[in-house]
Amino acid sequence: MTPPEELQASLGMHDHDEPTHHLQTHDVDPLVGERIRRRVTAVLRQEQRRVARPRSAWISLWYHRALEPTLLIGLGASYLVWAVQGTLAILH
Amino acid sequence: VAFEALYARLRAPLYSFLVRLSGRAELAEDLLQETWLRFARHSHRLEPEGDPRPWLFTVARNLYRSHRRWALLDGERLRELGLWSGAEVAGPFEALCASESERRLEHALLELSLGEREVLLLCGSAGFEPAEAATILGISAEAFRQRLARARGKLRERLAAAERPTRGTRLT
Repeated sequence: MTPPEELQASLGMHDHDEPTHHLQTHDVDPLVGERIRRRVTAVLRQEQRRVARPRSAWISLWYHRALEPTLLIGLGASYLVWAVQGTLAILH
Repeated sequence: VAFEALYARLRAPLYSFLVRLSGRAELAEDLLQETWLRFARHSHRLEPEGDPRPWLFTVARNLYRSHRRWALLDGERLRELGLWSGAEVAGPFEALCASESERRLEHALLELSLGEREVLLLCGSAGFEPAEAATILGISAEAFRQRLARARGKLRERLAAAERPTRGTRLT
């Protein structure tokens, strides 16, 4: 017959008397920990800037390829309509 | 702010995991730094609401595995080659142990194979559920259960052997 411990283990169940549960958690040297924190924070900032850059590039592309031509064409068309209407008003 | 909190919460568990996996404090510090740097580089791809713990432990474990592939003669290989002196086995945490039983446990862990240490540390001190730990190791739940049972058995054997009076079991 399978002993209960082995049965538990074979089922992958947690045995809270397992010795490794009682292992102490030790921290890294505070100076090393701080050095790592600073480096990682710097890399995080770089990454955030890098990820944000394509968005601004896309906005710029959208402005120059779509918004700016639309505005120019709209203004030109408005001016043309105004000019034609003004000319017709003078002639009549 | 999210990173600061995460770093404060997971720095020590990750470091402990790496030290017990590698048996070397200096190497664990390097791997800890590389793990967090990878996190920083991939943070925009991680789910903001997801738990980054399994991801971090997976990266830490893979980094150590890669390092080990490049290291020609680590302790385990020396032992396999019969060049390991048992007297030299001393984990970095052994000096910090409050009791003799803790010291024996740290020592016994280092004597297990890497695969066995991994399952015990992930399910034990790191506190992962077996399914999560199996995902971290990239193995099936069934394979994980078998490895865990085997590792627990071996650890108990080593601890029992360590508690017995020394009777010439040391490898020389």
